[in-house]
Amino acid sequence: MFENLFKLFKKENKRETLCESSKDTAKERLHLVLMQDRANVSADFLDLMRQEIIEVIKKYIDIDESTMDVRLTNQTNDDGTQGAPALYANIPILNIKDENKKMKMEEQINKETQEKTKEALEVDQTTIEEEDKKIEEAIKIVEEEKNETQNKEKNNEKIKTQNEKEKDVKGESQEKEKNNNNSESNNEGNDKEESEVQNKTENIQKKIKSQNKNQKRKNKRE
Amino acid sequence: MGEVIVITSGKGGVGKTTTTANLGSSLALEGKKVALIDTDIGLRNLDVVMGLENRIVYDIVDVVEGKCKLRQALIKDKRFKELYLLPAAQTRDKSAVNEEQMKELTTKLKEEFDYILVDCPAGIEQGFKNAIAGADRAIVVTTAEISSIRDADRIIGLLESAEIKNPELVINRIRPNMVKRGEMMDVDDIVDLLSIDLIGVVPDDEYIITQTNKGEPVIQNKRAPSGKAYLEIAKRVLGEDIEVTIPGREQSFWQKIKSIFRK
Repeated sequence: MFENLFKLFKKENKRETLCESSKDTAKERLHLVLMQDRANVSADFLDLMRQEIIEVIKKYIDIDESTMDVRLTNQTNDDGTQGAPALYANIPILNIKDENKKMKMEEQINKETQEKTKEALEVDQTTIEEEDKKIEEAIKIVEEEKNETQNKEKNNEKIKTQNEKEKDVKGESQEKEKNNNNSESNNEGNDKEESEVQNKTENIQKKIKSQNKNQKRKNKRE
Repeated sequence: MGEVIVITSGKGGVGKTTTTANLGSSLALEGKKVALIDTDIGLRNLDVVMGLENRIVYDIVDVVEGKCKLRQALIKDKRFKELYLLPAAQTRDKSAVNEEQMKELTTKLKEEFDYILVDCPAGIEQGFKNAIAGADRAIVVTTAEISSIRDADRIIGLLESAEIKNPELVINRIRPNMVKRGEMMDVDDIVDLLSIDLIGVVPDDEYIITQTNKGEPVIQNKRAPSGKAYLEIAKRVLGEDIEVTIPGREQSFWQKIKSIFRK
C-alpha cells in the first residue's frame, strides 16, 4: 500500500517538474537570443526575411500568409543533443498556380520586350551624347595642335612670311580651311604632322555630319 | 612579472565587485601579493565591500593625472598583509582615464604584484574598454538569469575581439533547491550556452550580505558556502587542478566514503 502511494507521489512530482520547469523555457529562449546576438542580427531580421520569402513564393504558389510560420530552431541530433540551428518554415499552400503561371509568363515576356525597347532607346540617346563629347574633345585637340604648328612657324622666319602673305590673301576664311592651307605651305619635315591634322579635321567633319543626323533622329522621336 | 585579471560581466549587479574582493582576499590568503583596481569611476564600491572606505586619500584618477605617486594611492588592507586596493574616483566619470593610461598603470603594478585584479564597471562602453586594456586574462561573472547570461555572451565576444583569449566563467548566486526543482538553469546548461571554461560556482547565501554589511570578505566566515567557493576559485586561478564543486551536487558523507573505497 505505502509503496504504491509513494510511487503515485513520485510520479506526480515528476509531472509537475516537467510541466512547470521554467528552466527549459529560459534555455530555449536564451538559445535563440544568443544565436541572433552572435549573428549580429536585429530583431527585424526574421520579419524582413519572412517578407521576402513570401514575395518569392507568391510568384509560383498561392499561400496562406496568416498561418505561415517562419522561425529559427535547433535541430536535435540522433542522440537527443542540440545540433546546428535551422531555419524552420511552415507554409500552408492554398493553390498551385499552373495555368496562371503560363499566363503570367506571357505577360512577363511582353513586359520584358517593352522594357527592352525602352532601354534600347535610352542607350541610343546616351551614345549620341557620348559622341558629342568626343567631337568636342577632338576639336580641342586640333586647336592645340594648330597652336603648336603656329609656334613652329614662328621659329622658321621664311615660312612665317609665306604664311603671312597667304593669310593676307585669304583673310577671314574658316578655321579648318586655314589649317589646311597652313599645312600645304609648310616644309617637307612637317608633312606628317600636317597630314595627321588633315585627317583629324576630316574626321571631325564626318562626326559633325553624323551628329546632325543624330539630332535629326532625336527630333523625329520627339 | 604579475598577471592582470579583469573581472567583468556586462550586466550590473551580478557580483563583480564581491567576486573581486573575495578572490583578491583568497589569493592574498594563499600568500600572493595582490592589487585590486576599481575602474568603476563615479560609482566606486570596491572600497566599501573591502571595508576600506575611510582610508582613501588618493584615487586612480589622481595617479593617472600625476597628482600623486602610485604607491601613495594604494591602500593597504586591514586583514591581509599583501593585499592592496587602488580605489576609483567618485567625483569624475569614465573618460577621466583612457586605455593607454590603464595599460601603463597595469604594467607598473605588474612589476610589484603577483596578481592585479581589475573590477570592471557594468556596460560595454569606455569604462569596460579601459578595464580590459591592460588585462592578460578575464573572468566573466554571470548569474543563472537570462539577462545576465545574454550580457555575458556579448562580453565574451568583445573580450575575444580584444584578443583576451579563453575567458573563464564564474556562475554566481546558484540556488541548489531551485535547480533541483528545475526552476533555475543548471550549471551545465549555462556552460553549454556560453561555451567557455568554468572556473567556479558560487552558491547564493546570506553570508555574502552579512559579511558585506560588515565590510569583510565572505571567505573569513568559515561557515559560508560562498566563501568556500571563492577559496576554490583562487586555487584554480593559481593553476591547481581541482574539480569544480557544484552546489547541490556535493557528495554526502556516505558517498564520500564509498568513493574512497572505490579507489
